Amino acid sequence: MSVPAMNPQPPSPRRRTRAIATALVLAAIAIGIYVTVILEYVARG
Amino acid sequence: MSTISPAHDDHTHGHDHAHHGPPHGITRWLYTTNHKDIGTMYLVFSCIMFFVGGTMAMMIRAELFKPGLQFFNPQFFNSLTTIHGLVMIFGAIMPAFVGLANWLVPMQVGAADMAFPRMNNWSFWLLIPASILLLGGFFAPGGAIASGWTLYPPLSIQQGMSMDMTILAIHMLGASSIMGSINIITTILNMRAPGMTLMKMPLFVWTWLITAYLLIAVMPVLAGAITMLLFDRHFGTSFFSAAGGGDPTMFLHIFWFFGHPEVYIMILPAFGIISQILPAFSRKPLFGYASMVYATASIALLSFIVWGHHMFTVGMPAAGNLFFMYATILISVPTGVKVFNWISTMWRGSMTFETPMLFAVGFIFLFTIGGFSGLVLAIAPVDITLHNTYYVVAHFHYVLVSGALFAIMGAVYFWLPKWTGKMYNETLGQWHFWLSMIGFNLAFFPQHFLGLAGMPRRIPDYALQFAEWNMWSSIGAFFFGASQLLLVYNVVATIRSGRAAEQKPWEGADSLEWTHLPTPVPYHTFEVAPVIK
Repeated sequence: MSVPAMNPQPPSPRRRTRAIATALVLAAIAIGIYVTVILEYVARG
Repeated sequence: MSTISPAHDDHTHGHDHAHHGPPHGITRWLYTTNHKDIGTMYLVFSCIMFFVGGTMAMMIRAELFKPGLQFFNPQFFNSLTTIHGLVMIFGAIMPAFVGLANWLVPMQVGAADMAFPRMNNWSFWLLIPASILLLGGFFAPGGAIASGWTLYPPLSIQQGMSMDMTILAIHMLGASSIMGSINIITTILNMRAPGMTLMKMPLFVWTWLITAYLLIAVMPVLAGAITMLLFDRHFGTSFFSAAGGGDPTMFLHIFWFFGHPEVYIMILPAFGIISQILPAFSRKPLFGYASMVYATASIALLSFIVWGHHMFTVGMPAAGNLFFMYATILISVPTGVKVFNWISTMWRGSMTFETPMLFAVGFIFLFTIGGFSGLVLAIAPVDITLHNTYYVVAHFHYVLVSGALFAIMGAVYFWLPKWTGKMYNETLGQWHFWLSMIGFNLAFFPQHFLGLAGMPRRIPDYALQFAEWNMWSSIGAFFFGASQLLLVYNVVATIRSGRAAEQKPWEGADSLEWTHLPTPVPYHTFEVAPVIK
């Protein structure tokens, strides 16, 4: 018998939704900072 | 620490997995989504990169053993210092901490795994092409980059294609770090076991939570800076090119807005490790747990407003220099809180000095020296004299080697029995510590004297009056480098033939992985979440 690749205990749907929402917000912050840094200096001409 | 009521019988749990193991072969490692496998891969990768960067350090010290050019031309020497820095920061120290986070964070918060196991796998495997690009620069036309790890223009605009390889490598490393950070924050915020409130989390988890926020905030800033650098090189823009009306100094501001928090990214998880090792070997709870959390957060917040202390010499207004000077000195307050709490934790404790504790005490002693030399450099008029001298080199090696690296090595000895179920050779561990301690101080303490006497950094040759301390520094560096082989031997020998470890070899260890999981930990842990009261 082999071990399943993922841990056999899946997170509850509510916890999974919260996790995905947290990750999306954090990713949006990271991308937002990246774009803002560049646009700030583009805007300066 | 809170009391813990197991939601299931751990030994039964361990037995469930005793009759089968993880998948075998290369696919286990290529496709793994298990946080322990990924943690192991990070640690092995970090160890390899540590020896790659260490070999460059040995080459640097061999060149500097005596005055005059011995082995390398100045261009190659500067490539060595540049890639040594990048490899050690992005290839050795940061992946080591991410590896430890992968191993420990889910176990310490009572989670089954990381929140996004597949993204976790991707975060790791991005490191491999990135490191190939970084090191492949040595074989590119014109050789590896020689601008220093800070990639200052105009040199970084003028260099050959290895600079493009490095820019791509750093983008990939940044993406890897951001994905890892998102995973860690999401795991800590959403996957904690019932009853594991934020203020019950072990300090290592707390420091990584704050570190991950720092990474998400500053890695995109570095990415923005090097994207603009790439555009200046190839697409006709002039963000940093003075020839086109750009401002090279602006790169320094953006870079160090990333660079100073980056310093804390490399030391905050070390604070967390020390805050777990000291109570275990002092057999006392950590003194001032809440103040440790607040001090960590304060250091992280202050790290955003001190970047100018890296560039006192660029000609900022006096008010700017004063602001950055006072803000930097302010950081010594929360850092002092931490050192005070560590010493208070040991005070009247039933201390024993096994190898992890030796590294922890060594950390406090030597990191504090690095902190004090940082205070010296924070004073703007002093820094104008010491800027770009060996005093700076001594300072940041005291923070990053005897700080971050000693903590990582202490962590490896501390958790190795839990990871492998085997006990390392204590005598060999103690030899490793003492030889490292002697070698490190012999290598780097004389560099304070060299810096104060005016020896500049990033040069392959030097004036005769610096010869003697450079010779001692090189001897110490060779000594320190060679002694690290003891660690590798000890770890390999432990895995292959170490004696079985006890369930809890460290009497005072009290976080979930010690109190609630068998030794060694099974492939999957916490299939049923523990309840923490």
